[in-house]
Amino acid sequence: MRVNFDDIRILHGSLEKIENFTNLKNLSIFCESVIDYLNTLSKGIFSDPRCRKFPDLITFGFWIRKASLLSMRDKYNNFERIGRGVVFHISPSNVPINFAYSLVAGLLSGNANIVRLSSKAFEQVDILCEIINKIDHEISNYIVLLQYPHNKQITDYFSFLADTRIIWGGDETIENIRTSPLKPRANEITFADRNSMCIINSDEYLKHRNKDSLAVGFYNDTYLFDQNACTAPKIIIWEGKGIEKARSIFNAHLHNVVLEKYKQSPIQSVQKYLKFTYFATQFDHCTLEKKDNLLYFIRIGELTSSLDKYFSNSGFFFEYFIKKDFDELIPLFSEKMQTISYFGVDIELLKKTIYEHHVRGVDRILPIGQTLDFNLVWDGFDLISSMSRSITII
Amino acid sequence: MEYEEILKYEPYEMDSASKNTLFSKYLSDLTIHHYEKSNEYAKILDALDFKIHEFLNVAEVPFLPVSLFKEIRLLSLDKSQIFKTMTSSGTTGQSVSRIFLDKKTAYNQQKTLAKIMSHYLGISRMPMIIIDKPSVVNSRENFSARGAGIIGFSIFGSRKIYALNDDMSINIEELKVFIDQYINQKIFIFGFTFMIWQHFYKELLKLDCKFDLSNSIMFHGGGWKKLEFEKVSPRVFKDCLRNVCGIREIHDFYGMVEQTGSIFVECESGHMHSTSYSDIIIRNPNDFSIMPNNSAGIIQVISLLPESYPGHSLLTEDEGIIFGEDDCSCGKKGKYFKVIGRLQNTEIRGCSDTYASEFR
Repeated sequence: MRVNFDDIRILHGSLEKIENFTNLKNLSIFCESVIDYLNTLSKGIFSDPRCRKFPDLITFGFWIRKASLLSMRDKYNNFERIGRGVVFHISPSNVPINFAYSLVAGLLSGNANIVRLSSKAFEQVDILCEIINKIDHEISNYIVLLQYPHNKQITDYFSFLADTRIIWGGDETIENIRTSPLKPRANEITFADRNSMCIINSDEYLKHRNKDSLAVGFYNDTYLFDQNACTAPKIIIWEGKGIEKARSIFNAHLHNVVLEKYKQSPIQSVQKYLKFTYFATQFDHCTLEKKDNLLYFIRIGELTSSLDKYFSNSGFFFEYFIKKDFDELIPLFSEKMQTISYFGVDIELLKKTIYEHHVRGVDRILPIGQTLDFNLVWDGFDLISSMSRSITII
Repeated sequence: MEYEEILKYEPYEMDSASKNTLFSKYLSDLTIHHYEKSNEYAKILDALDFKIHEFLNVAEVPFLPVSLFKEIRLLSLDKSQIFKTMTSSGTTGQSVSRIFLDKKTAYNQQKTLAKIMSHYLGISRMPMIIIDKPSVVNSRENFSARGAGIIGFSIFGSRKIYALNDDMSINIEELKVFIDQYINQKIFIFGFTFMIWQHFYKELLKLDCKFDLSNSIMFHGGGWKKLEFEKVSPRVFKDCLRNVCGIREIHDFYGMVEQTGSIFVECESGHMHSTSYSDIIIRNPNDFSIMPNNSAGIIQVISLLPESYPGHSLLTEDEGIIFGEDDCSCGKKGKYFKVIGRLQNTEIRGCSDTYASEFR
């Protein structure tokens, strides 16, 4: 295949290295050498003072420490798995460090990796690439980081080389990339547009001592990425007897955090107002509660499966109060529903509802404040298994 | 109350005290009217928990975001009464606003525009140069904002000429004849700011062709977005036009298809003015509270015209700044202000389809 590579900007590795990928050994999952490499990278992050400004970089640094990786490894019992070969990663434009998590998953599952980063400039990405470039390790041969503007030829070429293609973010992007064919045996992992929600038990909340830190946790789950990450709750479900009281305390605490931390541009204010007025014309009986333009609460009396059409971002929350039980939430559990974050909720009961109704959505259930924590099982896909193969011996 | 009563006022004679009384009454009536006639409008006000009553302050009147007209049909009349539908021009791929007019609202728009313009042009019609191509008003584009603007302003022209050919080149020969013919009369020149700059000024400069238009008056609107990109300020715009063809009287105006008729015209002191038929409020982006004078914020426009659709109070996506009321050095009453431009678009974070645009 003749491709014009002039558009490609290499951040780590080289195009020759990609050509040499076929000569590399496919590694076992969680192999010592990869763990050693990642631990070196972790040390590199912690010894670079510039990293301290970037909480996402620090979190990543912790995640790839040896101890952390070993505990991840402990969850796998079948180590007779080998990487599939070459993984082509297409990372999202607006979550700077996401590419690194994707890369780590590719390495831990034993593959060589071509990672396309967004062309947008992020300081923490530059720093991380610099650290990666300083490491001299056999695993360095398994990594090529690059950027290129939209160019179907290049995407075609890397897709042709790939044994697994992993596309982060967006139905439209997936549709576009899928015009580039894969090898017959290659597989693909796609992270489509998803939504998330939050459930809070009002009575447990009222008893809770540390309401401030819960509000900060919720802020991190949402506003940190303009409530636009697929993990960010769009609707808050309240249950229990003290809903009115609990929600007003919760909302006030959250407002304080948002007021202190969130910077919003005027156009975001206008957009939220537009989304709200539009929703109001399409839905019977909703009420808006807002102190200012930073935080919208739109209370609705019934849940429908089409509600997700009206989900927005930058602090735009629907509120629903459970009248009887979790069965009322079923319309929300479509294939688009990804994460349920919770506080004080009887998880067994929630699980029962989800399993009994055989719903198509809900991939993660976790406490408020942890929605952005990366896990090797993401969006219902086990990344390690999806990017490696096992040999059946009978 | 009937709109004709309002039209008895000259555009720039109403002071703030009498305006507040009158507008409070008219806007309350309009708000009640739309609440009763438009189901969508009523649902929004209900969702806002807005308590409607007969004595609303001007600032209390709820506003709709102007882009809502792109999302849904908003009308306060029976569909059979629709006389014409106007659409915003909007660039390719963007959705357009649709504004539904009955005969009465359409008529009042014309009357109001005439009232405002006669303040500057006098009452007799003038020879008119339209800086655009003739096909812009052809049936297909007829009610786009650009075409509608030209048609709307054309009523002030006696004999009209389009300065541009359909390929946007300048029609020098006909222009020359026209200008020579009306050498002793005041000529009315109308066009969109960017068209004037790109296809009239720049071409005249290139052709090294000096017209004498010193006895003419120019009105231009449509915003500065493209010119800002070329770093052309209103000052530069005026100076350049004056140099190339001697025009001294140049008025920018601010208006939108969602409130056709009640335009805000730039006065001799270089400020936009509200009229006896319109008002303007600057809103704080943080909470939509009212900004004090001399502070920038989001522009809310108010017009007493819209009766067939709920557009009497709109939150724009423009940024502006009010300098004062009733005491502009030009002598006109009303609030005087400046339009800073469109609100800056910011890309939000998150993992949704923001990436897609990159891959188109």
